[in-house]
Amino acid sequence: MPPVILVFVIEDNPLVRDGIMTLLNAQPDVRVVAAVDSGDAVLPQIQKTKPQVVLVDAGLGDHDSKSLVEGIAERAPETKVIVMDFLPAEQDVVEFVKAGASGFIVKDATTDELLAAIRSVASGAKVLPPALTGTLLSKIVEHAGTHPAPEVIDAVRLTPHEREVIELVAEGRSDKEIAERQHLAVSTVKSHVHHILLKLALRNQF
Amino acid sequence: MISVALIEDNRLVREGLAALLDKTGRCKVVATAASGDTALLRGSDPQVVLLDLGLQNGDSLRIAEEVRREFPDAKVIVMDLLPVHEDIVEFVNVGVSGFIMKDATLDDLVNTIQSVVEGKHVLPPQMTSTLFSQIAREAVSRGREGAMDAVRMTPREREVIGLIGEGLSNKEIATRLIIATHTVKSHVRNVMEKLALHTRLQIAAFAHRDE
Repeated sequence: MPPVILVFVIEDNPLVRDGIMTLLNAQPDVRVVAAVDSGDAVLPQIQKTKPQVVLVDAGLGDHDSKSLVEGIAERAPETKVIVMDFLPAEQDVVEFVKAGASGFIVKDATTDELLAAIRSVASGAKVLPPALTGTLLSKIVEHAGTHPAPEVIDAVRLTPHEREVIELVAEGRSDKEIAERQHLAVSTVKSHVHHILLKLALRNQF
Repeated sequence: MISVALIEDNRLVREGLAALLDKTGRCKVVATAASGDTALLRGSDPQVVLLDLGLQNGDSLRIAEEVRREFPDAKVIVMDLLPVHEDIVEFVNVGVSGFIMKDATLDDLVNTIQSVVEGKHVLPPQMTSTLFSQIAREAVSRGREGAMDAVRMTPREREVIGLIGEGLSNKEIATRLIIATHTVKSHVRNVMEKLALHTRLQIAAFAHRDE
């Protein structure tokens, strides 16, 4: 029986938080000691529970995830931090590594990738996100330079249709309901959502 | 031996794939056609129809629907669909039983054929092995109340979406809302996460329905 890795989860989306906790606790060598929704007052809790690994969501509401990582590195230097992001931007990765993060995973990675990252980091390795170079997104951003040209901003501007769709998604409507409401085919709604995700991903690289 | 009909536009691929499948000894290709000539398949009564949509664009869903109507007793497997997650639900909805991606091996294909004949649904692994997909599946199977609440946007996120829609940069949005740029980025990340989860929850709900 391998030694158990204690993991502390900081994730504000309740569905993702509960899901990660359930998936991790199903592993014989991983145990979640706490799963919380924000970085507030979390340092004393980490010092008390002494996890080997802390999973930190990079998009923690109004909290600065980077200062949180710095705080953990400073106050609990034995604890390794893995930053979870939906889509890591190279610049952010550098800043998180400087702040003391040991690992990085794309939040939509596979469960196996998440587990591999936790095990590697717990054993002292560094896990960087799969290289962004070569991806379409990075090429586009590279092309645009550090300061996005006006035409790049245009390319990521949402169309009126996309804005209507995202408004309805925001209300919690299903694709089918949105399609009926807007007199669109369900496939059109889905393609709007797909484009919205692409545009948001692209603009978040700036 | 499972009888298979193959709809594939590229003649070389069509003949090659038919030969490979026959060689496995587990399937027998009983008819082949290009997607424009599915009438050629009439009377062949296959257990499985393999439908290559790799070269199709807009009307691939319509073709899948036609194949389902033409062969109501056969299971349909869609091959080579571009892995745009959002599409899967619609194909499942018109009665497609399995999906196979471009990078699959012959073994993957034969195993998928076997599984759909046994009445299973086979979603592409890219779809089912991600963290979000597992989380969504679990939430749906637990019948978790409020799973949709977790993908609902907050007022602040909606405000940020509105300003993105106007074409403002993250920095301009930060100035406008008097918040830090990293906070704007957090909001954008969370919006993306919620949109992605929203899609996965819907797919999971479909997959769950026929269990």
